Amino acid sequence: MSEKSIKILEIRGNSISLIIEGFSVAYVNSIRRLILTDVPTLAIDFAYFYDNSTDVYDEMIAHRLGLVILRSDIALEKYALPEICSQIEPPNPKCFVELFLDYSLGDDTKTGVYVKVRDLKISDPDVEPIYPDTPITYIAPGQRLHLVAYARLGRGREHAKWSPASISILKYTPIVYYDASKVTRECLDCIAGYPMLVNALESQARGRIEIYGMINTSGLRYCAESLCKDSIRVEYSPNILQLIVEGTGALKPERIIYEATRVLEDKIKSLRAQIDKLEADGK
Amino acid sequence: MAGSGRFDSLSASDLWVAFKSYINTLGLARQHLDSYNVFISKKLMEIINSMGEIKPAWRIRRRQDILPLEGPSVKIVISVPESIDQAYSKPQVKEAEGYIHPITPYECRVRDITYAVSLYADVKLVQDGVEAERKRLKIADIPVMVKSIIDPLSRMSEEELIAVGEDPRDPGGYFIINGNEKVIVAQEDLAVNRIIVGKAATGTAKITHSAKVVSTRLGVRRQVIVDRMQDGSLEVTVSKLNYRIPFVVLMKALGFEKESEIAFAVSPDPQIHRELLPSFEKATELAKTKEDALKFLGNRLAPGQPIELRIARAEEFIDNQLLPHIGTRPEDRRKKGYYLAEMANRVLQLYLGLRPEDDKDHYSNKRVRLAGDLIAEIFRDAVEIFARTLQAQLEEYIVQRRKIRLTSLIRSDIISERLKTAIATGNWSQDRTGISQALDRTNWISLLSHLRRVISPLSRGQAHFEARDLHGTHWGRLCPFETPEGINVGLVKNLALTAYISVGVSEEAIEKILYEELGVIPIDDLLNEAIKTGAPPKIMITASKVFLNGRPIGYHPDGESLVKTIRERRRSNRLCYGRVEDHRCFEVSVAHIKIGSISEVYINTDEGRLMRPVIVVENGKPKLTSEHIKLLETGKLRFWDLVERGIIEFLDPDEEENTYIAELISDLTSEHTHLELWPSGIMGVSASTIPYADHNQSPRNTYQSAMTKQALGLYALNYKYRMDSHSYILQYPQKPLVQVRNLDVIGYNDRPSGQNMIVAIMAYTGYNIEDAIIFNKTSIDYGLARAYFFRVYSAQEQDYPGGLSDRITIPSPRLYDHKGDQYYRKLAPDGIIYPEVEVEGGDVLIGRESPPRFMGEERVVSTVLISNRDTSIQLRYGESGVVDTVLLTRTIERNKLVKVRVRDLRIPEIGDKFASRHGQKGVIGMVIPAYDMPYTEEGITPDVILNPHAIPSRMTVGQLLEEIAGKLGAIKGAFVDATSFYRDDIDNIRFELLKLGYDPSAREVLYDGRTGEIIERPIVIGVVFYQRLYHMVSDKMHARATGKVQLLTRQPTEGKAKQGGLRFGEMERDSLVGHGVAMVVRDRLLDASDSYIIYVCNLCGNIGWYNRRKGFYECPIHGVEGDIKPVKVPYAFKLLLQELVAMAIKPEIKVSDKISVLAKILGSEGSQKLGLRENQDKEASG
Repeated sequence: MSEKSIKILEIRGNSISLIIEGFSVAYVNSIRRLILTDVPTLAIDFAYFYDNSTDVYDEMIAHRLGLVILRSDIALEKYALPEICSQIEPPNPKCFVELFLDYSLGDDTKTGVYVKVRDLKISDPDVEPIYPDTPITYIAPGQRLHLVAYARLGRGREHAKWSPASISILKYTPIVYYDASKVTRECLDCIAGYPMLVNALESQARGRIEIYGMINTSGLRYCAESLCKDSIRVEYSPNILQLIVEGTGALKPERIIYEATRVLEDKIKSLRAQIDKLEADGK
Repeated sequence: MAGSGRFDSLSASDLWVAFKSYINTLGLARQHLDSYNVFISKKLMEIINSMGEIKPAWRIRRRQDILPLEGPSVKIVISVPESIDQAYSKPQVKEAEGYIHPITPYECRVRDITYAVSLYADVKLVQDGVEAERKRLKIADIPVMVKSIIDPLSRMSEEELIAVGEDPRDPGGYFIINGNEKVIVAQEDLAVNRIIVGKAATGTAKITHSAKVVSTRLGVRRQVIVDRMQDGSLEVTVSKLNYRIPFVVLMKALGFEKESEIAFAVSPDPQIHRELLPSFEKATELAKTKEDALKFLGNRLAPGQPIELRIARAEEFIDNQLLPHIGTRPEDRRKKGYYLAEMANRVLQLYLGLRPEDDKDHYSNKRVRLAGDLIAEIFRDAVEIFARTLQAQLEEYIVQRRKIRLTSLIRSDIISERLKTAIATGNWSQDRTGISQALDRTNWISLLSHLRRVISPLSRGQAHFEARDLHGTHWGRLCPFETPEGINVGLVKNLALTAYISVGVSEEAIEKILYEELGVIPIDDLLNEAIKTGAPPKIMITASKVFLNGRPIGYHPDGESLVKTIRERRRSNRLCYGRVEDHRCFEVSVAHIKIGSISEVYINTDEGRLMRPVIVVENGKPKLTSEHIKLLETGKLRFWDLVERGIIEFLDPDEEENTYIAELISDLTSEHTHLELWPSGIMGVSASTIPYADHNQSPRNTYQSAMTKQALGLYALNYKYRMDSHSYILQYPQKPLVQVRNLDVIGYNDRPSGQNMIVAIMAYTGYNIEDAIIFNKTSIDYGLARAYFFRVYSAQEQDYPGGLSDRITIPSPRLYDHKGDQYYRKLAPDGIIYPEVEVEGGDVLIGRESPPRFMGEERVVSTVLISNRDTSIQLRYGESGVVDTVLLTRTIERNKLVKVRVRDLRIPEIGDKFASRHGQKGVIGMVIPAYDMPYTEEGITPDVILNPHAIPSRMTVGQLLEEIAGKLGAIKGAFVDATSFYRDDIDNIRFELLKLGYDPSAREVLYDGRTGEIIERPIVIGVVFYQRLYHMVSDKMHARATGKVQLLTRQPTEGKAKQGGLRFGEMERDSLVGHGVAMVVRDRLLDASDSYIIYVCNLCGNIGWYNRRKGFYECPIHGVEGDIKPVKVPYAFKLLLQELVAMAIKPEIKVSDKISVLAKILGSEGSQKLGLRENQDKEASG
């Protein structure tokens, strides 16, 4: 295997793209999966309704609250881990952040209003909604929504709301081999959706380009099999892997990867310990 | 290009505007509303007014000598005010306290009452020729069809409708009876008053050809058949007379005395005359004159009566029983003669091969009977009974010499009750059932489809292959796809979107125009001339015969020009005067039918014809221009204006035979007479949901049409205020990304029933074999396909004789059938559960105590105090949920009524059923989290993984196209049009995908989520609209160990609702018998079922018993001396023995132990070998 290297291709907003060389697919995939399953974040897990006269049922509002994305980086250090908290009932301050909502409209109001996530009063100033304009429900004149909710740390394995990333993919790097001399007019029309390839074809007669980032190569493959049969070939190389993570916003993307590797490390350590114990017992 | 009207060409989207305005103008329940409105404004009045004067029937009384020969002259005259406002009240109900209370449909649904208006009539009492009393009295409650002219809802704005708790887009067209919504389903019927000729069925030896007609007048149906017999003569069969009358005799009885008269009435054709000879020969012996003919008839009708009476009977028969639709007066006899002659003519033409057999399945020979027509039938019966009761009461009053008071004489409940029970049960006269049905409110489509259903009353048992087949004339009238599978296939149909059902135009007005303005020559005139000269006038041979609603009315020299003139007048709105939507004269259809030498003009004005709108084409150019479309769009032109100007016209199946209709604008040539308004309008509401329907194998469209009615969605906006016994709501319904334009006019886009899902077609894990689908758990976590299930439980405090009544309360724990404290825990002190409480199967929702059963007034004084019963309402076994709404109200009887709605959140799970819009259904086979799902290069994981085997053999190409189109829609963020026949070109969609860097066939590189490895083969992944169907495991899953047994047989109960066992059936038993595992059979069929021990006396074979008091077993014959053995048998066997005894059959049972029997078989040697001892005193195990 080639030399081990990890390059950051891009960090933009909530997403991060890494180019990884020298690691096996299985290894990087385990990180990819851990991002989705094992990196803890904060999400609402309990909601108690004192009053709900809106047209949306309690369960539906609770479900929506659960999907509210809360800033989790500080919470990660402050609160106890999911393994402990899932056994504990709220309101235990070691585990739970309290969110409170009481919104009502008088009968004399003319129009209704959307209750938004920003209307939640949160007990911990370090926890805040990432998208405060997310609507929860519509309140019509004369209606009231009064509830208290509790957020705790959890893992994506339990419910998708605790996943720090909405997209976490590992992919092989597509490599396009081209021969400009054989390119036809139809072929150029076909690959019009891939400007970098069109540019490359113009500048160089023969060569290869590697495609990085969120680019769908299915159109390219179609062309390579039909109109560009002679001039273009697409291969997917497992030697250069790309790990692309698009976070929900609960954690910074770097943090997500860091936490995932830490979980992996912990898991390997505990596996190591188990094996050591087995060996010790065996003798 | 305004102003350049001449060069305007129509586009497909222009036609769409015209079609949209057609549907929006008429609405989707128009046929019901039109029909009911005619009943309310016309038929009902006619029926009441036809009651005439009600006088006491003195004759009967006279025989009993109760009254003198001449009673006092008393009569009652009932008439309905002409104006609708005067005749009918607003919808209202009379409360138990006696005051009248206006009601809305919402209140009716919730309080279980009937949405009805009161019908008032002016009742006059005339005594001795002097008006003694005159009053406006209520004579009936008439159930109101929602959104008809007597329903205030039809005049409400959207805001007002919302204010009264209605869904503003609710189509109406149904009734609310005792709180239940009922539709009167349209009934298909063979066209009445039309002659249908056909060859006799093989097997009817004496008849070769026949002409049949069902003559109907005011609900009376009488059949007339003219048969051509083997000997060439014609004979007539009339219902109510079990005797064939020779045709010529009947004609003579009708006043056609001369043979030449008969011959010319039949036809001017000498060929036909020759065929009439055998009939004339036959008749000469029987009757020469009219007198003879009447005598001949009279002899059969009233044998043995005096001659005058016989003749009178014959005349009465001819007037009332023969072809009553033509008339019942003596002056109508001549017309009847012409009709009969025409029947004869057609039979002979058929025989001579001049005319083909009539096609019974041609839709011109069918009529659709709608709510108004069907209610009129019940109403007519009810009014008759009302009149009879009134008459009887009147006689009673007079006999008892009481003062006659109208208020106490007129009973309004007679008609009301009959109407109500008919609609509530669906039972009509002549044992017809299922005429009215409970409205299907599963989702918006199922509702509309139910309102547009047409049922053929043909028996389900017989094959009727032709009747079930799709017929050419169904085009644009009935949906080619939407029909159930199985016994009802092709008999239950649904209206196409374009279908229009004629309301009926007055025949008299049109007849007058035909004679006076259009030059139709009456038959009489020509016939007289023919008789005078002895030969038919030339015109009679060359002219076309004119039929009005199937009745011959005369000749016209040039049929073609007659038809043309009528069409011209119709198209310029000069047939009737006023607005087309008021007089409906566009319904007058004309057809010129030429078969060889036969030239006939048909003019139809009757009701129940299935018509469809098309665009008129002249010289190869449609009369509809884009100018019109612009005006339509801006609202400056109404749809009716197009009809008024003859741009769009309605064709009935007869007239359509004269047309040449272009399907697409591009097909138009100068020969075309019409252009299709909207080709995909040939489909009904259900089939309209299918995108790319024209790319699917046709049965798949049929399956989808049935399945879309099971999808969960948003069935009505007012679902929170409704108390449907059970209903479903999809939490986040979506508008399909791949659109069908028809969905817009149907309203599906506002009340959808499904979601757009990302679907990959691939093999993955193997959990999607055999039509299973794999679901993404993460998507489910995010809320995909979540639904609510609602069930309403209701209870009321009923009153019983003796002042007893139910009481809604927490039942006393002392009651003998108290269910156990834990079930009543959640009740409030008033005995009703709190809202938002979580409940489980068995929990009491409404606590109720009822007085003991069978306790009538006479038993109240009994000394034994029988305790009350607990009749609490419990949540169904196996269900759970949260109490959603608790509603307290009172019924009209003033009884307390409690309704509790329980809601249950249904998150998709393994076993729940889903379907795309192409008849592709499947259950969830596995739920896989996103991290294990395959993903694309962009990180998209599918919501659904479908097995590729679902596609090839079923040929649902539409689904693949939808997937491609859906993908483009999702990427572009736009809707894609997939309307059948007119739509976005799929090649464009593919090209656009490619331009955006995607494979045009929606294939992609996928990675395996479990390993991270690439999946080399391209996988189709795109967006498909999926529907969640109401078949869910949580409703069906059930198992038990032991539990409830039936009272009679002591065998386990059956069915989930009764916590029943799972049947170990015959075939299962057979397999065990085949394996020879007797003990397993015994275990399943005896020990685990109804095992029971009987005590048999071995001396007499009777069943004995254990006497607990004395402490020993005894036998009915031998008492203690009996040789009692316990035997284990199925309880059902013991029951059989006792039933035999009850039938005076004495069953005897001989018992012996197994060992001794075995010993007998084996002999002493054998038994010793086996170590058996004889007479082992072992009893059968107990």
